[in-house]
Amino acid sequence: MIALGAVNIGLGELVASVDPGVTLGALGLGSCIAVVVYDGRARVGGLAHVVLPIVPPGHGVMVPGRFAPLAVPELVRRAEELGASRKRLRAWLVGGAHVLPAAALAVGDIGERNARACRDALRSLRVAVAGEAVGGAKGRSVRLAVADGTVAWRTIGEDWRPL
Amino acid sequence: MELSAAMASAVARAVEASARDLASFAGTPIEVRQAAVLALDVAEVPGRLDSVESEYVGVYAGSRGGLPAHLLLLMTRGTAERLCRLLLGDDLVRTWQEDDLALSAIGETGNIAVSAFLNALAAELGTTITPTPPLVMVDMIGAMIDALLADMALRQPSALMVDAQLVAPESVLDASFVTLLDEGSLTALALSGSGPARSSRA
Repeated sequence: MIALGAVNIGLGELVASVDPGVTLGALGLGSCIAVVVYDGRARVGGLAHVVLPIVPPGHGVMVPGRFAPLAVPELVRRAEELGASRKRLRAWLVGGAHVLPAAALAVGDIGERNARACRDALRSLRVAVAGEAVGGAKGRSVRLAVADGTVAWRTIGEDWRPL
Repeated sequence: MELSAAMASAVARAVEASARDLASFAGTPIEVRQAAVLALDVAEVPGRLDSVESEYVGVYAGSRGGLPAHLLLLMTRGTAERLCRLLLGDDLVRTWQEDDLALSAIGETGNIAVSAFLNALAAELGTTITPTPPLVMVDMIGAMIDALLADMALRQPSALMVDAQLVAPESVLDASFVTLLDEGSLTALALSGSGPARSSRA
């Protein structure tokens, strides 16, 4: 468990919150990327659990949170709706591991592609990336405390560490 | 995706084939006590297994040829260790995580199990396959699965999952076979018989 009042953000989901009692988390990330955003003055935070770096051609786009080019703008938009300022927002990226060899997958090195797509989307929105824990071969979990903007992550069997 | 009776039977027979080949390798009887087959949206798979952060041992193999698929054989650390002891004996296994021989045995065992499973499924469709070399992983369940989910999300969102209990003398091995097939293969399996079934228990 990540904390009392925790909200686990599943595959393709995204949530923004201004509730100081809430901790947003994404657990067991492999090649997926958790995009975390936080405005320290408004104390608004959000997290998106991004699955893919692109919107596949012909896809119905029923779950925008799955795709980096749609998820990141939507996450920022929801944070702004709750009072965040884009100028003050900071972002963190966690995940994007190479759990399986790229050769095994039709999408290739999906972790690296996810990370790149999320960085690109944040850059186009002029949201600064404050920290990353991406790549490697091990899965990760991440959490954001909405009360103070603390972002922490861990791999299996390890303690939470701040990012 | 609706699980047809034919699809559930085909998958259950694939687990039986897996147990037979494992028994042959181990030189000891191994029976399938139960095999619950589920058809799921891929996003539901991690939640069906355990907490997504739980540590599992996974053996991955893909297949090329007439049945493009991903297969992930998942077991707990305890099951992996029991499997090693079954195959190598107590004297040869200290702790599987630190023992190259034990990890190699898990890889070989997984290779046998997943190859038999995939070959049996391919036979149901009257085709042949070439499994990829096995890859052994020890990680969070969610992390092992989400790369496969991402890969398959580009094509279709369904998975077949079998929770199986394999029983050998003095050993009970609980394992999950998570199979992701392309849409054409799923349809072919679904149409290979008649009548829907939400789940099946062998």
